Amino acid sequence: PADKPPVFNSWRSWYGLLLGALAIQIVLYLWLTNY
Amino acid sequence: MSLLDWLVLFGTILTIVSYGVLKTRGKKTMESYLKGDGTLKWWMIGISIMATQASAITFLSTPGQAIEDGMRFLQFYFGLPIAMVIISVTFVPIYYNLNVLTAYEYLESRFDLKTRLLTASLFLVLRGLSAGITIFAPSLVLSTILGWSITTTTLLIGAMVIVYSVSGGSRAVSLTQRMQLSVVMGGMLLAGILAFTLLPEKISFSDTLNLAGELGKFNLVDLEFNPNERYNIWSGLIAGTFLFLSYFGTDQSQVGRYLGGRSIAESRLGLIFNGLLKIPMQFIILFIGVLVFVFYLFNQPPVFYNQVLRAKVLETEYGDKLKASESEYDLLYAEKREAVDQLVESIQREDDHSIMTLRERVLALNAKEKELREGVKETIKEAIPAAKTQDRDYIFLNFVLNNLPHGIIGLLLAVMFLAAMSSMAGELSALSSTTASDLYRRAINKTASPEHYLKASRGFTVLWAVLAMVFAMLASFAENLIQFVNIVGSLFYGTILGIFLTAFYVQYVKGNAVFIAAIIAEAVVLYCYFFTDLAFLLYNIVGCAIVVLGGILLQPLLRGSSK
Repeated sequence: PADKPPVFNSWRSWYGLLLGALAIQIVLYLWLTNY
Repeated sequence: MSLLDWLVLFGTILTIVSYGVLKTRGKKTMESYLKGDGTLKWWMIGISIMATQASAITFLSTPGQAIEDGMRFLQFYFGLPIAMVIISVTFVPIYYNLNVLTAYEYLESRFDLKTRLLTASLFLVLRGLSAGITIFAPSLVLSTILGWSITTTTLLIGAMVIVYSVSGGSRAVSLTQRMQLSVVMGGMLLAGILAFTLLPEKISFSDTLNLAGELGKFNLVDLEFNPNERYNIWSGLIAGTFLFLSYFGTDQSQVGRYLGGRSIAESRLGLIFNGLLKIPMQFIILFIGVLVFVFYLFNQPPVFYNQVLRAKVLETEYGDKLKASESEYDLLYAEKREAVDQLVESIQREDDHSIMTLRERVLALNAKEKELREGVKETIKEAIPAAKTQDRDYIFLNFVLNNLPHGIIGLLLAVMFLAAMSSMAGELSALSSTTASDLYRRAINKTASPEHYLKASRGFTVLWAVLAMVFAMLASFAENLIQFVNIVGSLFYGTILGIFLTAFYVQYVKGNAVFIAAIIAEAVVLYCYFFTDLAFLLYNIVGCAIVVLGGILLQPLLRGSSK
């Protein structure tokens, strides 16, 4: 019970958020590089 | 430096140190001194992790790196969020459930005492040496710029850290890190904003971006696979993940930051916070460098950024040669400035054809400028053979000192001192935890009183701080020593990570097998270093793989003898 994540129902959602943010950043940086 | 700057510099440092001391007074035990009292919230943990990782050289060197080399340095951090996920899933719950004080303590319950002592000792050697560099690198730059001796700057940084670390322990470290990182990031952002306001009025923000982009500074992602090159996306995602797994998962200077949390959830959120903010933070620091680069397109930069060394060379017989180079640069810069002005006009007119032509012209002049700078460095080397001609670390502070208003100059110097202190405090806290808990209380003096262990822990904090300071004062005489310390980490990190990954994921391998596998792995890595030209980034992966596979293969052979 003490290890329930805030906001989301599971830790998996938090990890997904973190890796999603990484992917979005890489795509943005790639776009900027190619621009 | 004006009186106002000195007031801001010392006022900031002393305020934070005394606040850290006063807020964390009171009775302590060895556990609460080394680990805190387990009340840290997620954002405190996240800030502490980031403040420990970012040392002064991060803020001194990174803007200069963007000016010389563009922003591609950022790619190395792409592996960091991946490492944060793996550590949150696997490492954190295990450390918490065993309620360990250090990461190495877990290795004894999983393997045996000798494996714990081996990794703890390796950590002490590696981190003890790099704490010396943490304090030496900024001391060198700051002492040059302030005209102090390196002993003075080293003592200032070291003594301040000792004061609050010894009195308040781990809680004082994390409290001061919050204030230090706020001042550091605030100061850096202010410098970036001021750099932009100093540009000519006709240059808008989008002109600035276009100008930097056309001149190749936004080389953020390189898709080519090349393990010999640190800055491409594959090195970042693969080798970077391994490096950050080792650093955040097995290095006590980071593990100690999140073990002081209130719960597993707070620690995980702290690590996720770090994973979300670290890349944007590095992006901002690099981008400040890009703004300074654009500033120097419209304002003539010095031909050599370490102005103190330049003044020394002017007094030698090579002074005239240096002056001739500088006059040559005056002409070159005038030509470049003209080309830059035309480039800005064609960017504003969106005239693609002339942008292409002018871009090539500015880039060609940039290449000539680079050649001229190399020539100047050779002249300096001839004039003063012992001189260090690497001036990248001086670019950003040189910009600050010559172009920003008084008061802000003092603030930016405080930024560098505070960053050095916050990083060193995190390292010292880990060094004293590991010495006190893994070596002293476990193997040397097992039955002393709790008061004695608290005293001993404080003693170890002072001892490691003094060692780091002595190292920093002597390091300027031994160029090779510094290079050695900068690479020694990557020679041992892979083996340490391999021991931990075996512990977590390969349950049937026991102490003797992993110990022998670790010795073999370390021998192979050292062999590769001395006798092959294996890409540096692969050392971690090779060392780690040999420990894990070696343990699996050796375990059946040792079945009779293992515990």
